[in-house]
Amino acid sequence: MGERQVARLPFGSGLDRATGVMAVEPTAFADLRNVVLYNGKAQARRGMLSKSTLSTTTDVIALAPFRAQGKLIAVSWDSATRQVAIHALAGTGTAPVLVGNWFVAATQVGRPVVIIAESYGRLFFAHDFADTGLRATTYYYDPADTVTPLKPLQADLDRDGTTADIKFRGVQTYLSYLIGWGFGTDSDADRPEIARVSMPGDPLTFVPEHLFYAGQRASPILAGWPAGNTFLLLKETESYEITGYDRTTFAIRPADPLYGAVAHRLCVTVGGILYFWSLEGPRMTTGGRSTDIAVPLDLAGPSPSDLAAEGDVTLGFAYYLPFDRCVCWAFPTDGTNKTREYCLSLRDEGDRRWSYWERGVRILCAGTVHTSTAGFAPPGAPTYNAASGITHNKVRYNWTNAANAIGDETVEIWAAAGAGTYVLRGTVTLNTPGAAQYFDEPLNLDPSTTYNVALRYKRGSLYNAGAENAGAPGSWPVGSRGSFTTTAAPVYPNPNFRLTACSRDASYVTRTVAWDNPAPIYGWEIFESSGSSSSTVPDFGSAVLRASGPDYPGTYNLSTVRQYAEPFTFYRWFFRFVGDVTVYELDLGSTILNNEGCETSPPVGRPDYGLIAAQGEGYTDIQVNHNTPAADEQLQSAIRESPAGSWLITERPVITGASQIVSFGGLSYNTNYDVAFRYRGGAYYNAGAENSADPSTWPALSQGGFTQPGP
Amino acid sequence: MAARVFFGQGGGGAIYAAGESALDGGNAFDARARTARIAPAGASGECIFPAVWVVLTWTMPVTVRVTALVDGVEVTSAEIVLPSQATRVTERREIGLSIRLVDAHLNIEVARFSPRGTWLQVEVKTTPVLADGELIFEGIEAEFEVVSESAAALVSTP
Repeated sequence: MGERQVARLPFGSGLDRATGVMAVEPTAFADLRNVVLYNGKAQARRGMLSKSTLSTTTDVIALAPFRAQGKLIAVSWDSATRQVAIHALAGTGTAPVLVGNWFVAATQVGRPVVIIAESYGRLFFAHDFADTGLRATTYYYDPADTVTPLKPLQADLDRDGTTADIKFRGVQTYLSYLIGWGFGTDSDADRPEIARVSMPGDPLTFVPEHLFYAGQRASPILAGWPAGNTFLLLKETESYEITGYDRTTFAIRPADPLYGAVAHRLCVTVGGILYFWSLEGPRMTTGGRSTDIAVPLDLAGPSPSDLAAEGDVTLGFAYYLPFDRCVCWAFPTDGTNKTREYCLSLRDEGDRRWSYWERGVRILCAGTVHTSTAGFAPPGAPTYNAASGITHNKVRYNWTNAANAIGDETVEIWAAAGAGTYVLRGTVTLNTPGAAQYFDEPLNLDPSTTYNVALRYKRGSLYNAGAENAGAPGSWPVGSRGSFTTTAAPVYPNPNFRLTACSRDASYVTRTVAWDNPAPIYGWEIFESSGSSSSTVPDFGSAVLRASGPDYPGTYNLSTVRQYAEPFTFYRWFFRFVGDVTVYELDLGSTILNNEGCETSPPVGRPDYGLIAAQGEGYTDIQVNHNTPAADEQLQSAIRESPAGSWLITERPVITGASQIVSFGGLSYNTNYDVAFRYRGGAYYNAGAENSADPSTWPALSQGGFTQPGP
Repeated sequence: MAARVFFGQGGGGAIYAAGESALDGGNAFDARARTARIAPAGASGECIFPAVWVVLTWTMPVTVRVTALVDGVEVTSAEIVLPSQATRVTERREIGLSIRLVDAHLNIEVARFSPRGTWLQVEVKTTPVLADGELIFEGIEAEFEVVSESAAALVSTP
């Protein structure tokens, strides 16, 4: 019998499923789940607590901090409607508020993958989808714009004079720039190898030539992350790095010819080191060639039999847990209620160790918010005073500021129609503690409607006590709430919208329109629609706002750029009082106007072919008999070699009288010619002569022919 | 500054905050650690394994199951019930390893023996429901007695 001995097996080492049984370290583990690894010990990880729930959504597909606001931003997707929406939450994960809808994903897209980046007080959202035709426009969230906080990112990247939507596949901030990749221009969108760089400090401005080409054209950039002192553009099996710090020093060069990332969301940078998931598993780099860290996981071997199933690798994501110092890769599987994670402990940089984690729910994304505890909430609350200036659609909100207000608060004004949802009507800076203040409703309210109003103070990301929940303003402190009722809608008068004058010069056709606006005076709007012919000008539904005003003048000059020849543009104009549901068309819709002249109807007469007035060496004069032409109309002639030559149309002013001579020159000997005539008044022609392509269809009495004799 | 990590739910609209509960959105999970296989006497030797000691530090009330496997066969499984503690407590718990000898005719236990074999593996696992507080696996000590050394290498000499 031998001596009794003791084998010490301290915990804290990581998984090692790759090393053979004869060589494996005794302190290694064959299975290690849901523990945080320290030096010499393993601690059970903590769980997670539901903080809030987004409404009308089936999946939360992206989370990101909004550091400028101290908020958490969530992107949701609903599988039934395929609507992708953006929400803002407090830095504590509570009080979600719908910022707006982004796009409706095509059915071929499935559940969208979203990439978010923050730059200079704005948050940018990119749809990570390979097909540019199905990819959504890149949007940005501008919290300073309380009316339209979500806007498309646009630029004139092909220099055609018009801005167009940008559809980046991914976005990332680097130094003072916003970098977006996977988009060429609106006329050549599918350029997956291009990475564009914004102007420094201005993430909304992209100049066409500020871009990088990362390798071959057909190979898409899948991820963009900072690493060390470079910015890496990772493809599927290679990566490139952008060096330098501004436009004059930026350069791109190959970084790793063998390894890239599977997806942008499978990467995370911690302490200047980029951890990413390649086709062979996890790797790390600080720029240049990357290092394999996947070996202990033995990903090619079988997993523990009862470990949660692993989902599609392209739908996975990486995140960093600061308090546990762990980088985790999560691979959720649809249809299950668990999530498999591979967690890499970074507590000892010289000895990175792995463990499995299993989340008890299926999670699709992660985001980290750093919230400051240095600030404090507003000490007082605004006191609601009765609203004033109430009309059928306007109101002035009044309140008195708290005497103990600090003075740097902003005031949020929320209102809800009846039992409807509260909407933020506006935000103003508190002017004086203890003093009265007001805010005028910027939009139009509904008539004969009772509105509930709620006010609150905001400092940074904090609100006055009791008013933290943006989802329930009706529960805010009672002194900060009140209500008012708008008056009944007025009976608007008929404006008698009419044309009073028309003039034209070399450049413009200007029409003066007028309308009646008796007391009380209402705001007005004029809308315009246009088409390529008088019969195809669309109705009010397609019209756009051309002009508007708060009260008089009661007249307005509508100028259009003058066109001298076809194709002319035809117009319809519409008028309404703001708040009125009735729309009035100019002159009750009796006229369709154009951009050539002031005519409002076709010429009523018709030019008739008369006789050959004279013939000579290479010319023939034809007498045209007039039938009631107007003085300002044009006489057009068309001539061709009979019977199938090309028509040549020329015109000259009508000479008042019974007839007019039209001379045709440059004619060929012994050749038959067809001729035809018509009147043009503005963009109109006499009846039956509208077809400019084939004058042989004009009225028969306007047509004739002759033979040009020989020498 | 405090860092908060949030997760977004698939199949629902929940926003979860990491580290703020002992459960995952109300669902229980367990923590576990299974050591690699060790062969104290070498791959061709044998040992007797009388006991293992588990060192734990905790504050949460929880039950820990310790399972010893010799040559891949589960020989002993014991539960350690840890009561709630106000501050961290560290203790060593001994788990005796034994195999019952049963009289086949009378179907009664007549003796117990320590398991004998080559490979030892130990698994420590919590019951699924963790509670608020901490649970730290510090380490394991396995007692063994070599009864058969590994065979020496045979070297042929001319």
